[in-house]
Amino acid sequence: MQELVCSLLLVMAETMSFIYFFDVFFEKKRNNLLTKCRFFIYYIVGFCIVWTDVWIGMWNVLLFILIYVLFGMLFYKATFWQLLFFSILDYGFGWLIDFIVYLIYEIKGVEPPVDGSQDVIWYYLFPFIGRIVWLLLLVLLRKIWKQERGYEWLTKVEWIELGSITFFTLTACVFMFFSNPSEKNVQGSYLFFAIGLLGINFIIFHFTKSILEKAGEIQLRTLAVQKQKNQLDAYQEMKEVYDRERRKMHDYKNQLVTIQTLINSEDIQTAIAFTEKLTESISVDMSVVNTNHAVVNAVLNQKFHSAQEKNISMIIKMDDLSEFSMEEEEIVILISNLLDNAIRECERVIKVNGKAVMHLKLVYEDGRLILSVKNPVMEKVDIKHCKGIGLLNVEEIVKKYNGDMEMLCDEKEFQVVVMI
Amino acid sequence: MNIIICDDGKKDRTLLIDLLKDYEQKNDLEFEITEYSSGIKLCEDHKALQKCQIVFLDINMDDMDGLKAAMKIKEMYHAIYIVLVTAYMNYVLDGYKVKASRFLLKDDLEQTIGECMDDLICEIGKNNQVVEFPFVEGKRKLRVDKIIYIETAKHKNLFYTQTQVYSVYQKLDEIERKLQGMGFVRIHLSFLVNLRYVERISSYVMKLKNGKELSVPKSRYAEVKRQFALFKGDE
Repeated sequence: MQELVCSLLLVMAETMSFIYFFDVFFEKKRNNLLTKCRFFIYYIVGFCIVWTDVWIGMWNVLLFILIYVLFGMLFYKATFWQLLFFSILDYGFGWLIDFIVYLIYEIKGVEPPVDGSQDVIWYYLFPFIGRIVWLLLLVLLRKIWKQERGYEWLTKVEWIELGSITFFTLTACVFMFFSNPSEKNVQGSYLFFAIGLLGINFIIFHFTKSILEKAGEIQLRTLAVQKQKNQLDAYQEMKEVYDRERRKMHDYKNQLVTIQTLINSEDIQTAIAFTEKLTESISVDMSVVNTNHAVVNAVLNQKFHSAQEKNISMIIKMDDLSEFSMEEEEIVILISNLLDNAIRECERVIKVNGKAVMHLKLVYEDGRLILSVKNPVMEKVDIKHCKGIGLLNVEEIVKKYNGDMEMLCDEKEFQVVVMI
Repeated sequence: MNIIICDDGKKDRTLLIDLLKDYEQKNDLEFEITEYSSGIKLCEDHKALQKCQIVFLDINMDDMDGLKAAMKIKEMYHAIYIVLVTAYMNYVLDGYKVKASRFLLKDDLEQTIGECMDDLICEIGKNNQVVEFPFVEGKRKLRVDKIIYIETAKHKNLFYTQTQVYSVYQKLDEIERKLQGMGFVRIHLSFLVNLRYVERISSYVMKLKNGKELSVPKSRYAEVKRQFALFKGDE
C-alpha cells in the first residue's frame, strides 16, 4: 500500500514536470477538453510504465521517450524531430537532477535508498525530491524562455550545436555516475561539475532564446522594408506611366498638327501612312494593362514590361477586377512578389533553355480573387522550406483576409495559387 | 480536333497555321484547321462553330473586331475555347469582357503557342472525359463534368448529376481510384465531390454550386482546401 501511494505521488510529480516542460517549449494544438485532460491521460500511461519497470528494466527509458514523443504529437504543434529532441532533453535533465541529489546524499554521508529496501518512503523520497527540484528549475526556465516558438529560424546546424551541448552534458553525467567514486573530494568535484553543466545548459537556453527573438525582429523589419519598397515601386510605376503619357500626348498634339498640314496640302497618302504609324506607336507605347482596376493595372504593367525586357513570355487569363477591393499596398505586395519570384526563376531557365513561359491567371469569381502564377523551374523545390521574404509577405496578407495559399512544385513547374 | 483561325491578315493566319501544324506533328495529334478572314463570316458559319473546339481570334479586324466576334460566339457556344491573339497589348486585357480562355501576343506566338495548346488540350480532355459504370439503372457512360458528387448510402454509391441520380454497387474507394486525376476530391469517407461544382470551402463546410452543403471533417480539411485551390488555379 505504501509503495503504491509513493508510486502514485512520484508519477504525479513526473507528469507535472513533463507537461510543464512541454508547455514551455510548444504551443498546444487545440484548446479542447481532451487537451485539458492531458495531465490525467499521461498520468495513467506513466503509472503503467513505472509498473512495467519490473520486467523491462532499463528499456523503460526508451519507452518513456517514445511516450513523450507520441504524447507531444497528440497535443502539441511540433515536428517529430523537435519532439524527440525535447523529450530526450526533458528525460535527460530529470536524470541529471536525480544524479545531483544522489551525489548530495553521498557527500552528506546519508545512506541512499536501494532497491528492495524495507523503508519504502525513504526509497521513493530521493527521486521525489529530484522531481520537485526539476519543477522549480522549470519555473526558472519558463521565465528565461518566455514561450518563444520561432524554431523555424534555427538552421539544422544550429539544432545540432544545441543538441551536442545537451548530449555532452548527459554523456558526462553517465560517465560520472558509472565511475561510482567513493572519495568525498571526487564526489564533491562531480557535484560541482554536474551543477555547473546544468547551469551552462540554462545559459545556452537563454542565448538560444535571444537568437530566436532577434531573428524574429529581423524578419519583421525586413518585411516592413519590403512592403515599403513594393509600395514605392508601384507609385514610381504609376508616376512613370503618367509622365510617359503626358509626354506622348504632347508629342501627338504636334503630330496631329502635321497630319492637318498634310491634309490641307492634299498630300493624303502621306497623311494616311503617317496616321497608321502613329496608331501603331500609340498602341505599343501606352500603358497596356486594363483589368478595370487602377492599382492592379499599374503593377501588372510594370511586371509585364519587366518580363518582356527579359524575353520571358506570358500567357494570361484575366477578368474584370473592378469589384475587387483591398488596401493598395497589399495588392502591390501580393501581385509583385508572386510575379517577381516567377520572373526570377524564368531568368534562370532562359539561361539554360533559351525560353521561358509564365502563366498568369487573375480572375474575380463569386466574390473572391483567384491569382495563380505558374513558371518553369530548373529543379524541384521543397515547398515547405522555400519561402523567402516575398512569399512570407504574401502569406501574411492571405492570412489577414482568411484566404488560402497553396503551392505545388515538380521537376518542371512551380505553381502558387492564392484565393482571397 | 477542330480549330478555327480568324484573322484578316493572310500572313498572320499562315504563321499560326504553321505553328499549329508543327505542334500537331510533335505531339502526334490530328487537327482540322479552318481559316476565316472576317469575324462576320465566322459568326455566320454555325456548322463549323458547332464542331469546333478552339477558335483563335485576332482582335484587330476591320469588319468585326475579335472582341465582338468572341462575345457573339460565346453567347451561342459556351463550350468553345477562345484564344484572343493581338499585336497590341492594350487590347489583351479588355478581353476579360468576353471570358476568353487565353490571350497571346503575335510577337510572342512562337514561344507561347506550345504551352497554350498544352493547357487547352489538357482542359478539353478533362472536361470531355467519360467514365462507364455498371449502374443499377443500366451500364452507361457519364461525362465526368456532369457528375456533381458521389455519396455512399447504405451499400450503394449514388452519383448525383444535374438531372438524375444513378446508383452503383461498388466501393467508394474503387470509384475514387477510377476517377483519379479527373478533378474529384474525397472530402469524407462517404463523399467524393467534383471540384468543378464547389463554390466555397470555409469553417469545415463545403458549399456546392447547387446550394448543397457538405461537412468536411477536420482531418481532411487542409488537404481538401489545398486540392480546391490548386484546381481553381488550373481551371
